[in-house]
Amino acid sequence: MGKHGNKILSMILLLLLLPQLCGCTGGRETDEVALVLAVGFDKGENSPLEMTVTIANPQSFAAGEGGGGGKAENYITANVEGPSIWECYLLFNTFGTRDISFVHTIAYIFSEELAKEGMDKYLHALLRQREVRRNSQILICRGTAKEFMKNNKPQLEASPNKQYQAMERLAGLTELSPSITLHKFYSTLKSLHSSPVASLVGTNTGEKKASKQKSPLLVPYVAGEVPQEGGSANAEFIGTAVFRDDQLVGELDGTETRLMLLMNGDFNISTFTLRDPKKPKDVIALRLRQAKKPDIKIVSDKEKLNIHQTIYMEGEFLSIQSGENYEGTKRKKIVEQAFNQQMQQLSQALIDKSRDHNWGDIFNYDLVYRKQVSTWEEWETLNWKEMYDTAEITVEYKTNIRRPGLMRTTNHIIRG
Amino acid sequence: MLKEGKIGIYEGFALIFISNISGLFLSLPASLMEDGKSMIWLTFSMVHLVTMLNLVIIILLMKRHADTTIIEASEQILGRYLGILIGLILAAYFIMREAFLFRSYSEAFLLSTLPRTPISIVLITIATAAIVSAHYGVEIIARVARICLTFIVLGIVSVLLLTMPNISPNYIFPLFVEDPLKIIGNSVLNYSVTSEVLVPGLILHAMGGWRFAAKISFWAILCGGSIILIASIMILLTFGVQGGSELTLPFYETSKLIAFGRFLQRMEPVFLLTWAMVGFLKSALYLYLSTVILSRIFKLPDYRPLLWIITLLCFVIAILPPDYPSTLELEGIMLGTVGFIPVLIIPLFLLIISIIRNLGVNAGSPRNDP
Repeated sequence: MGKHGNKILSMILLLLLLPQLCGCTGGRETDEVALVLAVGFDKGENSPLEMTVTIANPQSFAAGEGGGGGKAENYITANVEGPSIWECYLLFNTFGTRDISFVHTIAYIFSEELAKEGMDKYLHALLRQREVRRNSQILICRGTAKEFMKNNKPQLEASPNKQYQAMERLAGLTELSPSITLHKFYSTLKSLHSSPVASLVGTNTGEKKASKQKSPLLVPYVAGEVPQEGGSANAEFIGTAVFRDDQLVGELDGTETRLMLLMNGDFNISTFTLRDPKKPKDVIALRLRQAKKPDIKIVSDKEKLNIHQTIYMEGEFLSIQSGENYEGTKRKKIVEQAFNQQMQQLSQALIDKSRDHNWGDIFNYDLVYRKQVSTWEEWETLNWKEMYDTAEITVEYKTNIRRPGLMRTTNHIIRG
Repeated sequence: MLKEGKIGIYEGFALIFISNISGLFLSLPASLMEDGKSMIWLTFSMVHLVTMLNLVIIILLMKRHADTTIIEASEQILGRYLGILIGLILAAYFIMREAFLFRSYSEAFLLSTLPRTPISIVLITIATAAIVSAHYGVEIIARVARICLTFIVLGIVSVLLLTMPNISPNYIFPLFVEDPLKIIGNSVLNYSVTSEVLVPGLILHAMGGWRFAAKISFWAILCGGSIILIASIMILLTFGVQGGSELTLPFYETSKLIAFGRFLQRMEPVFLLTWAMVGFLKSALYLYLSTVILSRIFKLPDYRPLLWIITLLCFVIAILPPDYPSTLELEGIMLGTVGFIPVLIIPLFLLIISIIRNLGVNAGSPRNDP
């Protein structure tokens, strides 16, 4: 073949490659796809599974004659029953005009009932599919996911998608709800010995609930029980769902969630209110962050493990109702000691609760113990649950209130 | 005499390095984790060490037969007919590797981005790209590799750095398994066959002689193996042994986890482009090598007439396995037990015979040794 022949052949081959640039045969245009924002899973009435989806409505965002999006709802919620997740996915495509897609799905919501039966089979089905993102949130819903998704109407956000993102961000500022992704949940589930946890969500009934707060340091609410009225949505994100293997076995309220996050080292920042050590009728508010990851020391003796954990916190005063001058270096120690002592008691109570309810290790102590195990086979056959249940666990808090806020001292009002 | 062009040091390095790291984007890290558990750091280090020793054997052979490729060297050492047989074994090996590369990368594309595209379309695309690139020769492939290297390394480093928030350092523990020697032995048998060690012995003329070829390949394979080791450990720290070993495309899954705030997420299509570059460059290089080996065996003045038939052969072999698990299984055999014959046993055998028979340009004159 001559030089010209080679060039012609090369040109033909290069031209053959050109059609691939337009997205191959599997390409989907944006106006052919229905983007699912959140997916809910419940037990079906007639089938094993009922799947609810919230889909972004492009009509509401499309520019109308007046330049706005018209009166169309920002999102559509629909549900279907089927034998499996992907059968439901298929059925959704029989009554919508667009191909539904999980590419932008930000939350997967499982009902309590389904979670109690076991999540493993649903997680495998989700993670095997390329559209599902492991960094999507996993939420456990009190009641049914369908009702939650239908009643969840965020007034400040254009779509639930943004709401889920906002709540995830806010969880890092309240620490009353853990931010758990599919990846984190699945990794813990597969790490052999820890008990996975997930965020708890629920809807309020519209009636203001009675306050259950016995101590100012406690936030004894789970989703759906917050004594609120007129919030921007019916949905509440507070508390933790606790799993033993892949089955839901219990719940943690706001206080316990905060403690668990502190003990796990996943705590960012939150506000704490405690009784004034000198004037118990008044309270002191603190904004504290986890100063560094907790120190966990595990010592094995012949009979049991001794686990000693030190949690470091630092922060500032937000309020001192009594006007006592706790800001000084010596007097702030009174507050720090009171806080440390109360947190220590609450942490011990939570450890006892996890043992009493047979939850296993929700604090991921096993991750630290891994260093003391020399071989993989030993790790695989380890009876960590029993070791955790019989371990001597002590928790110590070391708090440093570094800043007084924008008032360096409190002067008394001079009354005439 | 074949005209192969000239490859500079960086171009040669890029070519061998890129070709060497292709397994990272497929199932290699997951398979390593399945076999070595949390001791992957040690098992792959040993695999890497054996690969480097394998390269040393090739370099020693190249040194003794300084201006000849392995094909001509085998004829010098074993005679015409046995030399041809050795050449045919090498050609068959590269053709099989090329075919499995076509299939593995096509399956990876289907699994990650093109689920609705027929595999034949993807296979034809890769084959067409390979034949066009191979037609222009190794010099052009190496130049493209040099340009792509920056993007590929940036892509890998970015994925590894951006997934740092997801790692749990404790997943590296326990550090050992109960029978470490057995596990290391199995891993060496299964994973240390690296066909890139043969590349300098086949295109040493283009690389400017055996000294340059040896230097380039040494650094390229050392760096490539180190990148695979680091990335595999990062994947272990991200998913753990149980989670990581069940993944089909662990590096792709790692990139899917990248999320920084609301804006920097869903980045995997960007990284997919870099992986596609690796697949296309390696398939181009291996197609070139397959045809060049045959041309050298049959003393053809040009390798290009063979491109069509070899590509068709690779395409047919690629499409033969009924499914992806079968492909992986067959590839495992090619990479493992059978792969040792062309990659390690033949060069070692040639080297021993060459020493015994005192053959080669440096034979009997140790003063001329560099």
